[in-house]
Amino acid sequence: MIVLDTLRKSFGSRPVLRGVSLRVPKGHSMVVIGPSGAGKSIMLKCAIGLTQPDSGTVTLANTRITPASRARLMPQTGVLFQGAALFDSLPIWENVAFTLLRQMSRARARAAAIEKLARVGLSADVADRLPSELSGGMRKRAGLARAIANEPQLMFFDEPTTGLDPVMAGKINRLIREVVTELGATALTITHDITTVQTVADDVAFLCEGKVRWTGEAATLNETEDPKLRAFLAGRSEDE
Amino acid sequence: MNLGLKLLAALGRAVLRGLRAIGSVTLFALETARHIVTPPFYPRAFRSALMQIGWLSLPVIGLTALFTGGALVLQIYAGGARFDAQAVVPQIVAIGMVRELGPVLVGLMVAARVTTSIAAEIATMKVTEQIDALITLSTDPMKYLTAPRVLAGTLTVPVLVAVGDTIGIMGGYGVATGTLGFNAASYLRDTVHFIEPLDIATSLTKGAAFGYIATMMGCYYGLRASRGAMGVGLATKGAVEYAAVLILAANFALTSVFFAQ
Ligand SMILES: Nc1ncnc2c1ncn2[C@@H]1O[C@H](COP(=O)(O)OP(=O)(O)OP(=O)(O)O)[C@@H](O)[C@H]1O
Ligand SMILES: [Mg+2]
Repeated sequence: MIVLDTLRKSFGSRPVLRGVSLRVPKGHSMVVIGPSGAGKSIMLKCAIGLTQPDSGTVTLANTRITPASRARLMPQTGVLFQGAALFDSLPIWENVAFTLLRQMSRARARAAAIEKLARVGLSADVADRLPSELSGGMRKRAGLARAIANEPQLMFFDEPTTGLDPVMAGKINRLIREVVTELGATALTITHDITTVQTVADDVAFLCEGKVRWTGEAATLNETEDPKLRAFLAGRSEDE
Repeated sequence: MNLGLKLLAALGRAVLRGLRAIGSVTLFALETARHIVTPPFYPRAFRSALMQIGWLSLPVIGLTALFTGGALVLQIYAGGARFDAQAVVPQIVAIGMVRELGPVLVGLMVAARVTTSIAAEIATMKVTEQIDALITLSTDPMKYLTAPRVLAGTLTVPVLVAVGDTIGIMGGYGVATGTLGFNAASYLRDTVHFIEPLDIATSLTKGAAFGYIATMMGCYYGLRASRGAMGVGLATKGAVEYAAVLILAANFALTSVFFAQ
């Protein structure tokens, strides 16, 4: 379960989160949409304890997240960052196998990494390349492979399909849905991609101006009465 | 009056900021020491740090020491000539090189070469969220990034200092015997006889302290970098400036401890 309770966060005098509350039941997949700059990535960083909110609490798997409890929760958490955040001094396979290398021999970890890479549509010959030698979309997929490598129970994905062509985006969406279901994991995905909402989401939240303006089941998204959300989905600004 | 108060307030703020910085660097230094001695350890990261900090620094350290040793001989010879004291050139060069110049030069070169590269590398990792990613992969950046580098610095910089001392003395020897007419055998004998174990101990102790400071400051500034390319630049600049100042301050402190009568 992922529970965010009235998170507030300002940078200087500029508020970014103005009381964000969100609840993802165990085994559910929540997708968060919202305009660029709305505070989605900051919300995600608060949720995994990387950014300390000014006020409000985060509870993951019944544990309130603090700098001290964070370390205990991380082994069951997988995170894909918006910029992939691959370690640029390590080859792709060592990135993917980063935690696996502690549990098994190098040869086995490498084989496991190559298998994870195949799941995100990357062939074995990228395994030995450095992140700087990959395209943006390939890096993103390698980051996804790293996030799911140790089969986490809590998953956080920041724009998993940004920079991918529609075919690859479809594949990644289906993969996310598949691993979440397969592992019975709880997932929070941020996206601008409506196909991600359709494929990945059980529930949807609309984050706008630092608040969750709308939340509901994915199937009810198109019946929303909220004018801002309707405008957002139709791709216009509210006053157009 | 009003202006006076404002100036005083600004001074107070600056002092407080300075004290806070000193406190935070001190805490970081202690925390680093704790992480060095407690598991998990990362031997691969340590080996690569040894290579970067130790082995690859040798050429620049050798050249610096060589030229400085040569210049030192010329200066001491010229100065000594005023008192008819040219005969003590080997002894003065040896003591100057081993006790002071060797460690300080190596420390500053390591700050220039190693502190900057550590700060830039870690700061880049910080601004591209790689540090955040480390944390989500259950890896403590202090253990994975800081501890191996600082341990490698503390162990290898004394070796670099020993090499620098030796090459500096040999540079002096080359100039003294080549252009100033010193007898080769007696120059070496004078040097060796004059240096005491305490001199060498000071030299190596300073090396270890400077190695700790240089690498630790690189990590400190790198991990605190703010966003973007400018953040990386600021971190690198801050790291090398304060590493150099701290190295010189530590040099003074250690010299006082070892040689104050
Ligand atoms: N470290 C920071 N310092 C100051 N402001 C920040 C910082 N991080 C984020 N912000 C600001 O917070 C706001 C929200 O940022 P965030 O990255 O969460 O947006 P987002 O909703 O993820 O947008 P996008 O869809 O474009 O990724 C932005 O206006 C950004 O400028
Ligand atoms: Mg974002």
